[in-house]
Amino acid sequence: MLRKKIEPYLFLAPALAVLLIVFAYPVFRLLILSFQRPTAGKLHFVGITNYKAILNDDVFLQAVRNNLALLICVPIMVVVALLLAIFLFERIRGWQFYRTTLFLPYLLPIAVVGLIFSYIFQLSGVLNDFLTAIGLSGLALDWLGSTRLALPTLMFVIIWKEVGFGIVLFLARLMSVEEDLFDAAKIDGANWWQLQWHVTVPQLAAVIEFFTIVSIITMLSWVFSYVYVMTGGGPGNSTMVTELFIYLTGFRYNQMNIASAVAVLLLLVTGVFIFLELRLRENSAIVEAVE
Amino acid sequence: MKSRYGFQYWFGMSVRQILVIFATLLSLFPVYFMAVSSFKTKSEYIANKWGLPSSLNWANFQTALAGEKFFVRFANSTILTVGSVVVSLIIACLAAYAFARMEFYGKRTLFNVILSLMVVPPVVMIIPLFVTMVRWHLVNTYQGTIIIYTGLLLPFSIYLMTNFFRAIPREIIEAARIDGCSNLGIFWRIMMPLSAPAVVTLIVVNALWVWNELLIALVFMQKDELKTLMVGISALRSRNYVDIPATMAGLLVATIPIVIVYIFGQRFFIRGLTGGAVK
Amino acid sequence: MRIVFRSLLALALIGILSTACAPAPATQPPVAQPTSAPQQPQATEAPAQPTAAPAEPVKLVVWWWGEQEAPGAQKWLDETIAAYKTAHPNVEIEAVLQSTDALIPSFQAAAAAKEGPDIQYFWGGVWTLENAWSGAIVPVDDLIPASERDNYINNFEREYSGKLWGVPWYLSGNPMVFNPKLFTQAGLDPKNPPATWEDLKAACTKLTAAGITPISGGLKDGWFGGWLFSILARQTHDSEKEFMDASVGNAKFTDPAFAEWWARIKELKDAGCWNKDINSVDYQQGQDMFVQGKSAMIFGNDTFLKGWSDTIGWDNMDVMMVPTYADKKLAQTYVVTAQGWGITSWSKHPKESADFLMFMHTPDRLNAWFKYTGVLPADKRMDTSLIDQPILKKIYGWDTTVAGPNLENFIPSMLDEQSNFAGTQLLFSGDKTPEELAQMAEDVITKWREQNPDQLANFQAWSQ
Repeated sequence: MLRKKIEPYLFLAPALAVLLIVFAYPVFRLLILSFQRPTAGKLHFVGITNYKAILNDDVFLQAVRNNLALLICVPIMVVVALLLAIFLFERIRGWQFYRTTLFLPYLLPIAVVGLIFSYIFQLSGVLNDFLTAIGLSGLALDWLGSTRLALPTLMFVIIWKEVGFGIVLFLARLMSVEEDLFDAAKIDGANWWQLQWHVTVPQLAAVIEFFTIVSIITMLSWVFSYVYVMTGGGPGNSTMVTELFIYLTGFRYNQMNIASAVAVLLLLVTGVFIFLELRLRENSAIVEAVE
Repeated sequence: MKSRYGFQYWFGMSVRQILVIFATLLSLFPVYFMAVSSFKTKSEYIANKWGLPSSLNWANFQTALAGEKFFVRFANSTILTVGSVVVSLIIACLAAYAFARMEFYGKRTLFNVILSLMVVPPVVMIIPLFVTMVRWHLVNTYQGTIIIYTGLLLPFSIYLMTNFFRAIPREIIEAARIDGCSNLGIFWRIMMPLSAPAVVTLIVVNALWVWNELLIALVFMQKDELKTLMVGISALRSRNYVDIPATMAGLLVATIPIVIVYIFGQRFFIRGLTGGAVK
Repeated sequence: MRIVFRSLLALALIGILSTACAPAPATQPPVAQPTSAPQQPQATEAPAQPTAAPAEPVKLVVWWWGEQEAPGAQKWLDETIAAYKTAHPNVEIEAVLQSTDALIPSFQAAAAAKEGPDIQYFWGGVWTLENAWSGAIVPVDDLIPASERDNYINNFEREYSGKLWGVPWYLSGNPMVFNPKLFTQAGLDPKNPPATWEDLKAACTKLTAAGITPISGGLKDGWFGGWLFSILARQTHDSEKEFMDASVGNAKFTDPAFAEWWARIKELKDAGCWNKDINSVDYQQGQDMFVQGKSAMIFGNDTFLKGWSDTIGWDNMDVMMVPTYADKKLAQTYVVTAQGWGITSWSKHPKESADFLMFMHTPDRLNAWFKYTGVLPADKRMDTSLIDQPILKKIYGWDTTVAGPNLENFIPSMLDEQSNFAGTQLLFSGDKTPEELAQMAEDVITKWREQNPDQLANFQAWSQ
């Protein structure tokens, strides 16, 4: 059965070829650069000096803390997306319309979203005008201009935009769930919450897991545009994230070697995280049932 | 069903309506802003950010679309988007089938490695990728940029499709196998049609990403006749000056095709829905 | 749509389908097509592949920026290229306008690959010289005669180890712009705008009493913090060299002369000079407040003057030197920098590139530049009779008599970003005091020295 042994690799071959072309050299170069430093325009190996430097860098540590704080968005996004997807699946009045509108934020370029929310959240912006008008001027805070609030404000916008993807994803999966499963549960007298908990969630388990992991990765390494457009990392580094740190270090401070070390660290940390996740998944009953 | 729930049903539905309407308003506001801003003059915009424009001023569209260049840029964006979405979809689905339904040596490790590639931020890849592409003479070519986009889309796409393929019951596959189908036959005749909603989702999400992508398009498509729509629009921005009405006009025009693709893609969902409702 | 989608997939999968229910031969991967690993280059489509053939046809690639701050630049450059082509039919010039976000990443990528533009746009000072240090650009001394170079304004920003590393293009200066009408309204004399710090604070009080925001600005996007540094921190110094000295460790940023500007901004803040939302709006929104007539003064940029006048009218604005709080040499200067060009080290046509840059400095081109953009070219040979706007006349006078350095171009970018950008935000958010901010600046520069022995060495050589 030589064919059976080789066949999987044939299915994989095109993907691996493209991944090699795109990632192999860049990742290899990052690795090399991260152990080097320039002296008089020439690069020399300096061991782990760059890594030591970043681990002592306040701004980098702040960026890491902020990335970790952003992870709070993940459970919120999952729950909100799940609820809205279920509502749509239940065909509430006008669901066809909502299905389009709720996905709109995800369709819009981040540049638009960032700009508009900047105006909404600035000290003299729409939100505060509104709060003052309804007599809640005490709540009219400097959402983007204070070091305490800027990060939570950013989180709101990220959730707002990324939730659309979760809705569509969950809805797509719900479409292929056997209708009988719901009917059977209803006949058993399950109330709404029980129905969701015992039928919907288990059926969606794999997709929920997928969305969770993708969202975690988003929070760790795909939030650059949000930060760049909305706060630029400020005020005073309070919204600095690793990607922006890499960008500034590499392109603005001209320290490609240190930027590379940060990128390698990011890759390592996420690699470990994915490894742990998969370990966890091996022990999970749900996935075994599906496989 | 309705009679069974009675008051509770209507109450529940009202709560849902309120929540969904709130979410919808939040979603529509930016679109409104984009639409009204694109018709304002610069000074009108400064004086009146949120209201309706006093008159329909089409000059912004002219600025943003850079006249006759618009169609060239639109075509470039389309070529890159269709190219990388189609190529990455096919490649990713094949790989996902192997991961979901085949056994082979090194499966888990390979899957993990591919997954972790998702975290390499494009920002750090620019310089080494440029060096690679120069070496292959692929800078300023559609093929080169499509390869880069495909590579960046693959980890995510493979992961998504593996996830959906796994949900397809084994019995169906075994039945097909008994009918004498090879793996490719199963892949094409069973896996792909059954995963239509996932495929559409992937197409939309990937198309969206490529269409809106800026950094790679900027660096790898330098020639004027190769620039994409988003690059054309973003050229209006400076480090401390933005022509917002013109930018909004451009973004509005650039977003419309994507919305259309999504609305058409939804037909696949509708098919799935009515299929279930008929029962 | 479904049909389109299907046929697309079918098309792409046609090769696979043919073997759908038959064993796939192991030797021939069934799905090789879609990947089609990097195809052979079609002819030479690479960006800057000047023909290697000797002499004859020359192709120059120009990567530039500037339309964004000097609208009209594009029109001027197109015209200049066309005119140059008429005179030199063998030279083809391709100009690529870079977006702000990609200007530096694109060039660094090109430098790593040693392929890209022949002529690249650079901001002054460290922005240019970093590329000299890394070997990406060449000096122009041997390419452009001294008699020509002497006409350029602000060459000193591009000088290192006795050589000139680029060609200035146009001038970008930082006047204080004010609204005479609002001044009158608040009982201030627009003919005698505030000249000292005490005057300025007194003006703030009067304007506030009249219900007018005295000065507007926006710190959210950071850059304005750097401008404030350039405009204010210089007043206690005689030369930009002092900042280079402090950067390399010969002085401390906690020394009174370096720390004072933080306290001076705080004074303005405490005197109610600034818009309250300064921390949550970006620089442009700060400008917009002035253009709408809502604030009386801004720390402006002279490349925008013409654009502002379109909205608010020349009558409703005037310019003044920044009020002073100290009397060192730089306090009396007008902050100005020349944006300019460099010739790349991998260019196969440095001579032709230099010739094109000199063509940009011919009188006809200089005058056209001013006509199209309302921005002053960095060259003494412009026909000054063209400047008919009194405000622009003032600017030209300052440019040619009291020009001073833009300090942002003479410090490491890390200090600018992590101390000036972040620091001004922290000052206005009330998180840090001037003393703490001075300490923060010193901490950042110490970190910079530790992390960058190579850049440190370059700065040391430069500050000599």
